[in-house]
Amino acid sequence: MITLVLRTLIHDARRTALTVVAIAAVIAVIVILEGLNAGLLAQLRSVATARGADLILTQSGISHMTAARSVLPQYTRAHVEAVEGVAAAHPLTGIPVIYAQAQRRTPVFVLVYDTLGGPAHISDGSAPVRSHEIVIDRSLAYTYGLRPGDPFVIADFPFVVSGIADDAAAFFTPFAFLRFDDLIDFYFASDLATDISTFPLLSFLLVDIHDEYRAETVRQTLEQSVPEIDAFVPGKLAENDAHLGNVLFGPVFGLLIGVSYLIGLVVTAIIAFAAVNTRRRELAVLKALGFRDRALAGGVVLHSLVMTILAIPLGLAVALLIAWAIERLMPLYLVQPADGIIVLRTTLACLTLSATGALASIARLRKVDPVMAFGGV
Amino acid sequence: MWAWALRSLWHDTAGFVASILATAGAFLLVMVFQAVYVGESQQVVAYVDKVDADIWVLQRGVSNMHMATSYLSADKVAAVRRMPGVEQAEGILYLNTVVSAPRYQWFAYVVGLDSDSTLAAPWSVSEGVTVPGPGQISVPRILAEQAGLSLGDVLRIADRTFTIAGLTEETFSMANSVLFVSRLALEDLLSAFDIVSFIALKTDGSVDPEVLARQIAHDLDVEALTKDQFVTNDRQLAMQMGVETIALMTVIGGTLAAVLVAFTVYAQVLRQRAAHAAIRALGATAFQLLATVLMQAFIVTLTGVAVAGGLAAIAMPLITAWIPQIQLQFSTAILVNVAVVGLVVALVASWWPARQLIGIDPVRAFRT
Repeated sequence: MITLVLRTLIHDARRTALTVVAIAAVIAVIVILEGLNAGLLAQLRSVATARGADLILTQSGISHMTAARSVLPQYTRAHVEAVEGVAAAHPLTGIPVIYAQAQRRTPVFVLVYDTLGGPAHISDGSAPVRSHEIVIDRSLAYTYGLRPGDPFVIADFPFVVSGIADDAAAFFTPFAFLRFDDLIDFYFASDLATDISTFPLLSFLLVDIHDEYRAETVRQTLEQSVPEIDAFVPGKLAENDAHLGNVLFGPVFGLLIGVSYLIGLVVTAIIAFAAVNTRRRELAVLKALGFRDRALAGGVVLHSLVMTILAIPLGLAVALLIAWAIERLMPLYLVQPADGIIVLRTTLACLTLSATGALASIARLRKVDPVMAFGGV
Repeated sequence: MWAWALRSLWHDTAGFVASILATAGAFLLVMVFQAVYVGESQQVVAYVDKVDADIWVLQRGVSNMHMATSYLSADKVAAVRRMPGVEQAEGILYLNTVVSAPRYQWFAYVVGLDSDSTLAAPWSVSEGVTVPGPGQISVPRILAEQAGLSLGDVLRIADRTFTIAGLTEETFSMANSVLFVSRLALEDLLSAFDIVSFIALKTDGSVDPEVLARQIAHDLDVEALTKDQFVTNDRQLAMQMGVETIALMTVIGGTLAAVLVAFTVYAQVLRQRAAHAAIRALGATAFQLLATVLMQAFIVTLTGVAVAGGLAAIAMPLITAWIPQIQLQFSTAILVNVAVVGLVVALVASWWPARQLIGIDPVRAFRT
């Protein structure tokens, strides 16, 4: 039966190719949606892991770096640096702002840093050195056609782009990076210049620990010694952010991926149905030769499975190509279609769908009359 | 010839129906995504849209509430109240943050209200208080149901706990639920005193809101926007954030639909090679054959769009009831949008089968 199925596929190579393309298209859509979801979570994780700290301290009760407002008192830094095992505590502040140019507006999350926590990868230009310089994520640069040296105005305050950062976005929001001195100038230019203590000045502390100390030990000591803070290893904070992303966007991605699988089921059913329909005379000959319905049904399922197996690498290749195009044209998004778990899950699910879809044609197969083999209809 | 083209589609009824369903599925994918974005964009502006203010006052240089930061000194509220034509003005503090329940966490916008607030307070309360007191919080009813919470239960924002004292309507959204606490509690949480984020004001009807907004902006060195402008700004921001994603999903879903329609029409062409050859032998031109393929592609595509529209209209209220986190807003605009994509899909999908037909040999009719 395997030989027969393979020969049938080769006999009508053009039809086989188109069928494989149709299945591959469905697989590509599923993998892209899964990859978008995985990319969203990876971006959220990287907010904490890309800061380069051994420990990250937040306001007590705040267990996220993204989406949560953490406010630490100014004196916390001195208290933290006095704890045994702490080599240095670097300040980091996050403020959400809106960047506007002409009629277009984009929310931007500004990370204000001093000695640690700045952009992890700068692809063009340099980190802020001179006064009022800012590094922006490449999605902002792409959307607004900005390059190093261009002005970047936030709330009427003029910054100058000094560099373009890669992979500095999360939560559908691009990041920008500036130095603390410029934040103070930015606040002084506002309505509340007389009392800038009302503004968020310190959101997080990035802690370096001495080599001879274990991160977990220092973390526990910090939580006991400094009541204003909660301390996290970056990986834990990253998982908390990813979990929040899953809570917020999981249902939507789940719905879209579910619809994609449904399409996959219908497509494989159509293909199996069409295969039986166009090969009725051939199937009638096999029936006349004594093949049982069960064996022929097995052949139909095998036919569908072989085409799905052929389509999987093509679908994955198409998904990789689409992911590359998305990241080039829409740099705000990260798509991770090559994730091993996604590939394995999609492969298994598509093979199951393929077999299930093929079963839809069995009723049609049973109706094939062996008399057709001798010229009847 | 046209009648034959139609009949030949129906000849294999089950295959035709299955093709329509698969194509409809691809279009449904696009519609669901667009509906999610439209629904969410409506919810993003729910607060500024429902509060009965004529003008909103913001920090200079800020023109949005959604995902923005605005700080004004609290004495600006009194200054606004003194402006001629102002009937009522209330300052609110505003914070976007993560709110935690024992087994549930979500992102929310927290609005801090004065104890005597009426203008900026929740507009529809299903249970409990309208304006939360110290240590109290009002949450969207849907959110409370999702998290298994009721009046008297406790929520946490940072290291502060709040007791649920009110359940509100029309304030829930997947990424943008609005919660209310007292302004003092929020000041304490932010360690930021005597400031407000925004001022909502109502005129006494004696002045044009646009004129008054310009006057306030000039006199108080702030940004002042009419409600319509403020709502438009926030809606635009939400849609601009979504427009790339919508375009992306439309291209992905549209391409999938094109492949499926091409597959259906190509399978049709292959099945009817002999019939096409016979028609060609009888004198039909290549253009006429191409036109039949195009017509079949349009029929499959547009029927797919119509079926997807029907499925969407039926399924979306059910999905929203089943998964209340997802606010779906289906509209005629979405249907028209997808139909236009469908026309492009039909044209693209016809290309390959059409190439097969052009090369068909009329002699084939006498060989089969």
